[in-house]
Amino acid sequence: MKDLKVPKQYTIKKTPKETLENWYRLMKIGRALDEKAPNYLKQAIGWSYHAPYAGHDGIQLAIGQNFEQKKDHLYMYYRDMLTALAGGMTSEEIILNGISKATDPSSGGRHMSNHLAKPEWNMHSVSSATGNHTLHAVGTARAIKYYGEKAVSISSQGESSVSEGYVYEAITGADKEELPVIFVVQDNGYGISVPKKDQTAQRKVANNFSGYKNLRIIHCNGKDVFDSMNAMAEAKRYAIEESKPVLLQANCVRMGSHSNSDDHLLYRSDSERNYVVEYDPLAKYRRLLLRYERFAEEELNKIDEEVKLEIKASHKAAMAAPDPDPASIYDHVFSDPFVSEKYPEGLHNEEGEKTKFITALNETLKAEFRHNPDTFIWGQDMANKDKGGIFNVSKGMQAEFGEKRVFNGPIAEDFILGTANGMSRYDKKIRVVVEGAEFADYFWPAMEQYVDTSHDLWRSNGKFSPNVTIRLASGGYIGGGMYHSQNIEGSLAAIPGVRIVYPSFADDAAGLLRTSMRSEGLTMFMEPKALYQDPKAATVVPDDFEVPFGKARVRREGSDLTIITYGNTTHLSLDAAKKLAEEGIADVEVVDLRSLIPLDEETILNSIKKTNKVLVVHEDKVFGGFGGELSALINEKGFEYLDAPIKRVGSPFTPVGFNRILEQAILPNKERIYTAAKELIEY
Amino acid sequence: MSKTAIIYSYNTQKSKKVAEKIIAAFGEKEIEAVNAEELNKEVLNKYDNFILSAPTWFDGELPNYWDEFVPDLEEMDLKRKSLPFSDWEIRKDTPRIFAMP
Repeated sequence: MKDLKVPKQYTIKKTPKETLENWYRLMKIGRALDEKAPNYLKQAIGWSYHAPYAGHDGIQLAIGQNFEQKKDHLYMYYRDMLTALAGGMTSEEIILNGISKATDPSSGGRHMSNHLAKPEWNMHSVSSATGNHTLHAVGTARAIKYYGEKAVSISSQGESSVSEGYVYEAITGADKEELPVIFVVQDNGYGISVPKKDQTAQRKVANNFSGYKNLRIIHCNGKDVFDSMNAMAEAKRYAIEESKPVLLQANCVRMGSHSNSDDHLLYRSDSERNYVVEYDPLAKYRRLLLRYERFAEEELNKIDEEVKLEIKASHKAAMAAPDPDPASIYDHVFSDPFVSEKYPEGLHNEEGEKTKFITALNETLKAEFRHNPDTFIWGQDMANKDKGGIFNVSKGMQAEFGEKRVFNGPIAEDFILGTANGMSRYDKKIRVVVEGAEFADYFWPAMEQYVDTSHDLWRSNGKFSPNVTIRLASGGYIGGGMYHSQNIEGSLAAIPGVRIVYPSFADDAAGLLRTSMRSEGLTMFMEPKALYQDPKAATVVPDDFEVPFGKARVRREGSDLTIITYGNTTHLSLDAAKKLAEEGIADVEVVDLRSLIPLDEETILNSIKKTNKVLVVHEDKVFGGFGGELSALINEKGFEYLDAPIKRVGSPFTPVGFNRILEQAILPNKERIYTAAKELIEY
Repeated sequence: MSKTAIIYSYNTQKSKKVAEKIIAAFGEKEIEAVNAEELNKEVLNKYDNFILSAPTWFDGELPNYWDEFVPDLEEMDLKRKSLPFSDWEIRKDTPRIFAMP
């Protein structure tokens, strides 16, 4: 349904001639590049992925022209070439991206072609997972609103992406929080070959959201420059002035195939293909310019010639640009960590009263919120009166820091993490802490955002670091069964770009949390929830304690065997070591890793050099657990020091049972560690 | 005597068939056919009554020949003009193909 309240600010008759000329030039440059891109592939130069935008010209011009660099925030999808040009990128920059050069402003050749970005202008780097950036746009809009800026966050995407659950999470969240976001849905009728009738019952997917309270839905003709400009200008005005979201559905046609790996001849009829070409927005725009005598044919022909020359020059310059250096692959995997000057090894000798693990976390969170006013926390059950976090780790925070910095998230884990990513894009001074899920077991829906966020620094060639700490209550020993006992660090550790820490004691928990919250980058902070209240995990905690990443801690020194462990099993290992010592069997060294990534290889190898035997212990399953990596590392780098095979203790390859009898049969305990250690000693 | 035009694209299929039926029903002396693709202000000014036809493929938008005429149409004085719409094949909500004013 047409929104008749959209003012006709732009018309063929009244728009200034220089504006019309600028639009025509941009559209011609865009189309020239769109048509030239496949030639680079044919010549084996590059640009192996190209999703042509022809047929989306009106709306893409409008998005770009309504985007204000360094003020608004723009998330483009892989078909948004004209959006990028209309937003200020040059033809040379587009080609640099297409042929993946080191000077490509989007990613330095690291990300797929056609994924355009210029983070320094707030044209953000996005993933290939369609619609995934919708959540980021919402998070950025949350920051825009918090800091009171008169700006807008724009998420541009195809209509099929709206089938993704996280897009619904994003739009629902923006509606609930009343955020200045424009979701632009460029509807060309297809998700690759899947027609939109196979995606959703409504022919216009925007109408699926007609019941939303604060969302304004605007439809426009994305093939028409003026209708698109008017719709986009009104969407922006509304989003900023009303501080509410807009869903702008732009009807487009896809004049070509989905991409150069697709062939639309296989599924589109001749008449349909003829129809979409007939509705070419660029040809229409040119006809209008001539029909209403705003330009003479000679004037347009002159621009056409100038565009040809520009493209030629851009091609030449881009071809001469350097390729990425293979030695650079390790650059920007991890962001810069906070460096502790006072506690470089993450050790202290403070004496005094012991603090529980949960109290150490709570007090550190509060201290860091006082230290940095641009720190935020949200998650499920985060704050409601006296409730503060599912386990009350954040108790009292909302009362002290207010509901704009400490607030509940919906039961939507992907939203929780995705908006954290988006909010941190607003300004690098921002630090976000999220309770990623009620329990680590429920983090899986957020995995697509986890993977995406892990890529951000590398993908943007160092231009964007998501400064986010994810807290997860992890592990078992609470009688929680298979959905309240999971250890997921083995799976997470397989993904580069995230630091993973897993403390066992209150002081290390405080020190690692402080370091996480002061560092740049993404940190997964795993909390063994069985230790929250456990006196064994309580320690003296210096007020300003800091534990650097990648520094293990020898919790018990010994000479006969090294146990490498972390989390809950640190305590079980210490108990087993104590028993072995008391029985006069062995003097066991217990190394608490504290950080899984980065890993303190030096402490591990130094210990093995001394003891010549090693037992790897963790709560997670032996098969596929992180201990497999530890064993492989020791085998590669410490084999010569060993007098016995590496042994592992962990859970069997089963879920965790609910009945305590089953739980005990599955999770590692002191006796199993003791037995395995004894076998190694006797080997 | 007032003059009536039925305006449709001569290149259409269904619109053309329906237009021809309307012309047959009223008689050629009563209604004149006009090709929408050649429409301009001068042609429109010759008539007093209009039946407008526009096939709207896919998402219900006007064909280019209509859409590109709209800026002129918006400025015309249509006070004494009569425009009954041909609205055959209008289906509920969002049809694949339909005619609209």
